[in-house]
Amino acid sequence: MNAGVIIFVLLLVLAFAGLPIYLSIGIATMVAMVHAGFPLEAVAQKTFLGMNSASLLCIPLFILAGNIMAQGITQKLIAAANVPLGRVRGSLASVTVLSSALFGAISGSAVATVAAVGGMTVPAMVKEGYDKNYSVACASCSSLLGPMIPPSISLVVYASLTETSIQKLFMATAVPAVFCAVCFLVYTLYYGYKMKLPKQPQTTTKEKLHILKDSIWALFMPIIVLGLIFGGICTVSEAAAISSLYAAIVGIFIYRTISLKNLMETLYETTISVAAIMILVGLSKASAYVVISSQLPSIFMGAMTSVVTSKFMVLLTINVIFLILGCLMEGNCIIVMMVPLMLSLVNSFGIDLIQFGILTCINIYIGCITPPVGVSLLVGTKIGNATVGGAFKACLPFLIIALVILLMVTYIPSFTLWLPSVLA
Amino acid sequence: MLTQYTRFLDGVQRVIKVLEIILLAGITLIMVYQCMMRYIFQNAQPWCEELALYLSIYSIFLGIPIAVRRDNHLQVDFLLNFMSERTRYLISAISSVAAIIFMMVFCYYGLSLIQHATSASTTLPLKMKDIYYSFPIGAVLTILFSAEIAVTNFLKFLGKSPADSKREGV
Repeated sequence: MNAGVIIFVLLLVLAFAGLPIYLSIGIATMVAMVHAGFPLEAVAQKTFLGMNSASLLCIPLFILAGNIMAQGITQKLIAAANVPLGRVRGSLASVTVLSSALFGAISGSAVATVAAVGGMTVPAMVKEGYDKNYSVACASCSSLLGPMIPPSISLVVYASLTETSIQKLFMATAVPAVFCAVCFLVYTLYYGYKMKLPKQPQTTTKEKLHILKDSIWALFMPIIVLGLIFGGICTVSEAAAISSLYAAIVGIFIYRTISLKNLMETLYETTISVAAIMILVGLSKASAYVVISSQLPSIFMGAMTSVVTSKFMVLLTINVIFLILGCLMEGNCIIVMMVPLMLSLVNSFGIDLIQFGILTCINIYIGCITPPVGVSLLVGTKIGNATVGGAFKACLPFLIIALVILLMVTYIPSFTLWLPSVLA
Repeated sequence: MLTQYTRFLDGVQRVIKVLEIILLAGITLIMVYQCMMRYIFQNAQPWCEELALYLSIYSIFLGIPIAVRRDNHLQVDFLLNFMSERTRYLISAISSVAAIIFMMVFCYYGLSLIQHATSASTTLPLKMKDIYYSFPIGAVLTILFSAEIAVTNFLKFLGKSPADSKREGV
């Protein structure tokens, strides 16, 4: 049997039987290696190669920045987002969207976004009499903006597998992300108007200025991160480190919401969640090596091209595969599993790897809100004490917007590739 | 016996916690320093990134055993949710045994990587095998922590709930 097939079958069986994914990938890879006669030393060697890449350094640093932000600084972002939006109907929902977008410019993960922003806005919305399911849906779906707006952990993982430029990927995702944020915002405004949701109390200009002044240090943060990366001033990892240090300084000395003890705990918690992601990235380098040398990608390509022949249909099929997997698995697992398999197919149809990266990642972000395994939706329902079914129904309008954006990314190459070509 | 072992692991975990805090703080500061030196002082320090990367590899391998202990590893759990609590204990015990076997193999080949490593770091006074040591260290720690989980869950499966000792500060 083909070694690549062994990896896939074994990985799926073990993972669905309840083994942690890293263990499933590791065991599947070892068995396939023994079967194909590779020296097992390659597991350790390739894992090392998978981790020994300078671009991956930004993963712990961005997660750290997001975790530090979540302690008090996010609150300032929400207060600032309330200034322009407070007087519209259903403003808290729109504020959730805008705050998630701002938070997204620092954090690269959807779960972190829903926990940080939704954790504060969902209880507030429920208290003001918003529909519980709508509140949860709003926070869970807005969390897609977290990874969509650069930086994005998933794009970094994708870049490490395909050797594409992280900077270019971050630029390519910016236009669809802003477009998505605007669409979400318009929908929440419409919904608030239709359902006659309450407004926030009137504030004077003086109060508004005071809030903006108070939150200026928090608002600086997204500007710093994006400015440093897009301005070509420093590498992505350096920008991540600077934003972590900045968040720590602002949190400890200016807002005084973080104690030194909290900071230590945050550093520790970050390393643990990073370890869980990075062992997966490392081991997946070993499994990708076996999959690629097993000729499975070309067999997969042959099978696909015997059924579908046009680029249009190939892209559609890839999207469907990703969306189905997105319902069942965590996003980064899908990337490390499927991207090496699909690369030769994508190349043979002349699809740009930057565009393909954005396509892949938007698919898996959508997977964050599709049950049964939609991490953002699950976290959101836990915060709002809602049921997954009810909240998912309320998610549908957001989901449709996200799917339209996915189709635009899929079939309009300039939607993603225009900004990198201008800024390069 | 199990309580003593748990206490021993609590101690190990406290040491790991201190190391992890130092490692991540170090990585952050090194990267900021690198950017400052290059951009403000026009004096690029090529060793920075390499050192930060090696620290991060150690940080990963020290973090894996803790993620095992806290059940923080990514998992497909929606089939598990259909099973009874007792079955889940059994699966958790079996998967810990699988982790032990996997990590033993991983440790063995990590050691053989160290034996065959001849190259040295380009910018640091280090041999590559100094970095490869993180592999067996992480593997052995993961085995130690998985053994605890295997035994606890197996006892729970058998209906003998082990005494839940309160663990502070870990």
